[in-house]
Amino acid sequence: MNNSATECLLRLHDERFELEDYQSGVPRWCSGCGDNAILAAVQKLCRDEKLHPEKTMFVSGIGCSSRFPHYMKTYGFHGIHGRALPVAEGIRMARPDLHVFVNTGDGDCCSIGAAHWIHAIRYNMNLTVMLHDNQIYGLTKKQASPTSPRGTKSNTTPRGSYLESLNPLTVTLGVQNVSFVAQAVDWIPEVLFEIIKAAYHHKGLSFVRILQRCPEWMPDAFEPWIKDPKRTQLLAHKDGLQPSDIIKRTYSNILEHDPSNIDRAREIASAHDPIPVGILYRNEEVPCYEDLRRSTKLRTTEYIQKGLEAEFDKFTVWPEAATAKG
Amino acid sequence: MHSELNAELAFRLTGMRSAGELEGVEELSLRPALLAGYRDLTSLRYDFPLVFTPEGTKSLSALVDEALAKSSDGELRYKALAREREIRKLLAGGGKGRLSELWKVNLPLTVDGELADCDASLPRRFIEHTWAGVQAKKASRFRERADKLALSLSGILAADYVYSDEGRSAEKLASALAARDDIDTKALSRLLSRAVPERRLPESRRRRISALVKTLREQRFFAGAKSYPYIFANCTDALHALNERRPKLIELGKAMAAAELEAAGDYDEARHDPLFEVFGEMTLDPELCPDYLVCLNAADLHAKENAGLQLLLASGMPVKVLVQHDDILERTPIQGLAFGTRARLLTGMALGLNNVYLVQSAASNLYPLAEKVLKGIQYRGVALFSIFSGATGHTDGLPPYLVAAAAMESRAFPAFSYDPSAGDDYAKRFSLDNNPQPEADWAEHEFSYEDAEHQRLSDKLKFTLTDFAACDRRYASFFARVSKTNGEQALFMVDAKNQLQRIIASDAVLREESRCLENWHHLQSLGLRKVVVQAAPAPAAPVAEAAKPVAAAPAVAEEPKKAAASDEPYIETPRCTTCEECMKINNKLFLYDANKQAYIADPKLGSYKDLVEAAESCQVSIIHPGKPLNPDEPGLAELVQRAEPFL
Repeated sequence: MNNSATECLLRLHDERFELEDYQSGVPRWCSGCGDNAILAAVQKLCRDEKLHPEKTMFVSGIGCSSRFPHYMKTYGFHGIHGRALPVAEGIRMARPDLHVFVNTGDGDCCSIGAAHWIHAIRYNMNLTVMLHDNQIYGLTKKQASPTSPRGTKSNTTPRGSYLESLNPLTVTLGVQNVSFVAQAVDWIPEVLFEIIKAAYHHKGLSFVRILQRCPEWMPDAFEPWIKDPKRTQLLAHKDGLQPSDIIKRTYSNILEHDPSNIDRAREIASAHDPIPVGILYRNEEVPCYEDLRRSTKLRTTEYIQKGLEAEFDKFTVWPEAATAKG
Repeated sequence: MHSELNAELAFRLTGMRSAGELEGVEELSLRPALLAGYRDLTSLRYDFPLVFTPEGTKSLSALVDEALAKSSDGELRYKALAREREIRKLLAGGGKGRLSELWKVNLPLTVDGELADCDASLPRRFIEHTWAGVQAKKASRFRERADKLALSLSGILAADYVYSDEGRSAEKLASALAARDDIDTKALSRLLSRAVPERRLPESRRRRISALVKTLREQRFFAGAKSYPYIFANCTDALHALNERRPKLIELGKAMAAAELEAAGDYDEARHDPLFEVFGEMTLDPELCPDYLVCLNAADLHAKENAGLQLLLASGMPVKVLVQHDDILERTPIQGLAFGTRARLLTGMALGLNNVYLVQSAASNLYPLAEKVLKGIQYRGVALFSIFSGATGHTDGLPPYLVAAAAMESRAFPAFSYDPSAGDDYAKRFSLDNNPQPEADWAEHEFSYEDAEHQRLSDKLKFTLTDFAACDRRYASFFARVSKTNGEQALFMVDAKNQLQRIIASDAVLREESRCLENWHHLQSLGLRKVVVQAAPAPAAPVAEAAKPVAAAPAVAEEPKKAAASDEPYIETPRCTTCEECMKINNKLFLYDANKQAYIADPKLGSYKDLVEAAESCQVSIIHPGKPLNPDEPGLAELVQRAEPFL
């Protein structure tokens, strides 16, 4: 009843999409790479939500995961290292009609892009952010990343890394205006899809950390967790993840957690064994920066020209004025 | 004693007072005893005066309280409350003005607006102010949308022009590069024309877009000062305007829908042209329809206007109608008593239509009902506001606020609302909120007084229609004063000196009282009525299942039952992570389903070795190779051993 006439007109010709409609090229990721699972889940989301490819945008930085936009037949922006979020925020500001997704890796987001990450959480713009966390720099052939577990032997840490790994969940949950934080693992595709779907439907910045296998450089990193389903703790709630019976049969370690409870969310986020999987925190009330700053001014040619002139004038040297002063 | 009783009886039955026995009440300036405490309303703090602020209607007292809550200055508090009283007095004396002009106290109030007291003009001002707020928001939403669309369509036309030969002509380039004389525009024009051939929009699209921009820019529905007028003082004019503007409105609705499609690049002539040809009222976006406001006075509703009102109420268009009642005790055209009949007929008609949003209330109660009034104005269909102003002109010394409040208190003009959007059944839609003691027949109040021996007595008094009618001087002849009474039907009234008088009413008034009570019972029953919704029959599942088309594309593979798994190879498909490992081993044996998750297409398309290797390489261990199909496959013994952990 609330739909506009246009929507009604469009619905008369319902469009159907298949996964192939969103597939572009053949992924160059290694076989066994968790990025494939994330790509499949995202394509499934696009199909189920009937997202128009021309209204959908994937933005990434640099890294294995950041090749993501190449494999989506939508608009995409393969940006520079650590800068996926600022680019996505700009797009969001200028084109509120687009669905904007961000794919970033543990190096891209938590190291070089850490400042942008913190501020993006605070700005809370309507973006779906997927942190592909394989705990290693894979594209450049194995260097320790901020999330590598202590003792990780790599090309930059041949005697094993010295520092405790950074926990992206607790960091995110500590920033003002945080509105959605979830954790998924690439080896439970059904849950991965459900979490990405919930993130997409959240209005605000939804941050999903996806623990992801790297069979090439970290083949054993998640082995114990994959082999023993009890070491995965599903966070279930009527307002959060509701795992299916099939999932519950395999992953019977289930914790009831209300996503509106941030203190409990921080506690759960600190755990790494068992791995918590589900929606840790959600708050629909946090305002989005683009809504706070939304201008109703029409961007006519005259308006843009006037603004540009005003900017140029700040740097213009007026010869007459200079002479008069002199 | 007997003669007095006989006189009372005679008066009740005939309305004739026998001389010497019963006294008339004409000269006593009586008012119901329960209203004795409200001689000077201006010294009391209550909802009025109201302030019509841009954010809605507020009560002056509430605004002052809000401001005082932030200050602890005792003197300022005294001054503010004194000024509030003065403003109340000023308004009660017929004064007017804006709050900021009259306030003059060094205590800033957060909002400003015209002040209003409860008088004959209040219902119209209240409804009109609420309507104007809603309408302004609607107009600004529309303009923002329409301006954006017009701009984006103009952009399409401008881009088209740039690619035309005319757009690339030397003259055009010269005017665009006015400040540069070092560029040969003729050469540039030649270069551009050679490099990029003329690429124009199809003529039909260009014409359509130009027409859309024109319609959006020249529309008069939401055009500020150039807009059509939407407030009418009679139904005839409102109906005429609605009919006259209808084709233009449909054209605008069409233009908005087509413009959105064009701006998004989704307009497809073959698909959309036929749809837009049949585009009519039914497809109109309600957000595009401005709300019409028709302000009527019940006294002017003659035959033609009544017929017009019926048409308006039944139109289903976004029309908001205010019917103001100034006199609810008027006599019928045949001089009989039928109190409140006109309002009952009107609201009965609206309720009968079932899709009309209805609010009936006395003006004194409008402020607490502000939310409901706002919802009514925002309602997408017809809304009717039936409001009693209290300004009857037939009461002595009672201000309209008291008369209006007394009408509600006595059930002569009960408050109720009907919101068709509130739910499926009457209980959710109909509300008697705000009426005093809605479960009781009559509102009852404690009343204390002093008797002839200066003793304090108290009693419980019911406030009935008779009390309300007794305030009206036109009906003084229906009442008589008795010195003592043996019945319970005598009313307690006070004269100008607050002396208690016992008054009896004639049967003609009492008959109205029972009729009023019956009507009240009817309203009570509406408020409590619940519609029993019958459970829908269970859907015929098997038939629906059977009717489902068989998907031609690869369907989502089902997880095979483990029981059958020992011999047949299988994959726990829903757990597949799309990692490509198995596909690399054999992309005919292993295929992806519609969700891009692996399943075994046909075990014959691969060897047992493929299955075992895939099971070993699958990181989530969801491939189960089963038993070998071909007993002659080389190295089978070793393969069977390797398959063991995955069975």
